[in-house]
Amino acid sequence: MNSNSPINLHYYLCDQETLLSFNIAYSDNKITGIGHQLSDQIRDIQIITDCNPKQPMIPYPDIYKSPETLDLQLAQIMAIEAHYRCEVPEYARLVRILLLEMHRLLNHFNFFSTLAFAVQFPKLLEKSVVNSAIIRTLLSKIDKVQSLNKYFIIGGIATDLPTGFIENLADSIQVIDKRLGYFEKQLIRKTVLSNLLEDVGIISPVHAKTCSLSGPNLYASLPRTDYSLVTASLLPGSLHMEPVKTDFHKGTIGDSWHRSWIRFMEIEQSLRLITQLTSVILKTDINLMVQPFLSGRDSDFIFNFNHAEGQIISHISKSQHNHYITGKHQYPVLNVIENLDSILTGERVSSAKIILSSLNLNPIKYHVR
Amino acid sequence: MKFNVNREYLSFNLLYSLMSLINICALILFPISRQYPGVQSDYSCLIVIVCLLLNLIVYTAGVNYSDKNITSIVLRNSRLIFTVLIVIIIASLSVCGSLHSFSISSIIQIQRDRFWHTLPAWNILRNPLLFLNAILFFVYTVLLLQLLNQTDRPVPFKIPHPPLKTAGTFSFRVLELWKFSFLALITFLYIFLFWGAYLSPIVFGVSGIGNITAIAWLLIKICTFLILIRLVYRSIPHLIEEQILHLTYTFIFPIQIISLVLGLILLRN
Repeated sequence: MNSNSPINLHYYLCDQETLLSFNIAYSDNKITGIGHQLSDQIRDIQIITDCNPKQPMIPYPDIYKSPETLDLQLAQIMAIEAHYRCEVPEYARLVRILLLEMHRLLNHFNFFSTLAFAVQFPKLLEKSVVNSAIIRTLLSKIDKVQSLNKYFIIGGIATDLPTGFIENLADSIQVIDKRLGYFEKQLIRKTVLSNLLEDVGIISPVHAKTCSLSGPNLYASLPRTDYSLVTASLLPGSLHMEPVKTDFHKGTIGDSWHRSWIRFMEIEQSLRLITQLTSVILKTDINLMVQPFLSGRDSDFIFNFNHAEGQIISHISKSQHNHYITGKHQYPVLNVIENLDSILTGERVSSAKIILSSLNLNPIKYHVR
Repeated sequence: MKFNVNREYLSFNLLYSLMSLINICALILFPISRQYPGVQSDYSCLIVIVCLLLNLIVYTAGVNYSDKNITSIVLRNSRLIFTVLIVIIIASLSVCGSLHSFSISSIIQIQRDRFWHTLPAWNILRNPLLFLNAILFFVYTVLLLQLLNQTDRPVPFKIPHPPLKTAGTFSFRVLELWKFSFLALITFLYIFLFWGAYLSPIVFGVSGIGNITAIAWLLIKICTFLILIRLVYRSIPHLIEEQILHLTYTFIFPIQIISLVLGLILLRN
């Protein structure tokens, strides 16, 4: 066996600025190990909520500049509401689900951007970036009215959606839907991209559970699964949602192709859900929040929130002596980073970037100092 | 240490600048019209092919002046560039073998004829074997472009940073000039060998084609080729080395050798 000096792999995330550096050890063209210094730099993402719902969260400066952490804010609010049994009006719940689904679309298009980046596929990159730009533009319209950092409050939402937002969203969804055909062709047909993705980075069901993977990374490893994007308890009765069915396969189950395919199917499902939500929201009476009552006792609990990339683990704590609730959150990407070695060992050197992209390391930038 | 960095910096820039100059000088072997026949040589095609191989040697040698950490990547890339160049060279040699000439001027002369008094007698239309080689030449030029553009940032969203660590942006520009001259040489070779160079596809009178018209047709063909290359380059991801090696040595290379041999047999008969 010939072993060679490690390769220094430069891996850019979807923003084209955050650079992750990996050292890949290889022998006979197979990866024998992957080293990185991320473990020393990782911190939990902290959110502090003021208990007075009229003055919601104090933002943690480094992180809250983009809509990409919308899910953490809602995770914290929902954790508090679940613990203190706060009511949320139906209108607010619908708006929250709408924004969460937009966040899911943003996350998955960022996934495809990073993948296109890694394989240097300009046309796919352009289409992914354009789609994520559409979502960002819509979210920035809400940001102009009320900062997205402070949009979710305990008991509901801070303000209503801007005028014309639903109509803009409906038009944008149609535009995105038309563009999805290209993504589907690239994955379903016998293309260079699907050839690159098939049979690389295979994670077996047992391995996926051992690595504590969740979300699309887990579902891609399961032979057949039907699952829902949003848990039934969050959906009002007026909405009907079909489960995501993983019944089309190529390559080997658990490979990079399946992780890409699952995310594509979630995009399709999310678009259908948003289309339903836009019509239901317009028919629902506007009620932004129900005043919550939070008892003054100490609290310390763990809350799991399932969203785009899997299970977000939130550690929520409150002292009875102060007014703040502190949440420390971990994206599921931390489990991926911890187990990168076991996932990549034995794979081809040239497939390293493809496998890293298929696991979606984008959220790690919010954990790194 | 500072002296060594300066020496490496100068050597790197000198090497690539010299190679760019050689590539640009090799372009004078290509005639651009009847009145400007370029430098005539019976082995002009072979000289161009030797230039192509020289570019590969320069690319591999350039690694000595780059960041040592990426040496292995560049060496692997060199192997791939060699594989791609071999296909391009065999496609070029198939034309020379079919027409029994290494002279670019003679190859253009043969393409002046007409098939059935209508179709231009360009080599791409001459026989199925040359047509196949023309397609392979085109496809492998796209692959060559992919290999030369192995950067961490894809265009057009950010300026790509140089794959080889250099002392400054001047070296990056020298590298880009080298890539440009290399691709210009390949473009000219393709157009002249397969697409009739400056010859018009439209039937003209006995007097033939004027200089300005000839240069115009040459420019149209080059622009069309570059646009098609760009369209195909954008529409597929970069192939990894296993795909290129498998494709080339399992399918393309045997087909090319067979077509080359068949071409020579047909010519002999």
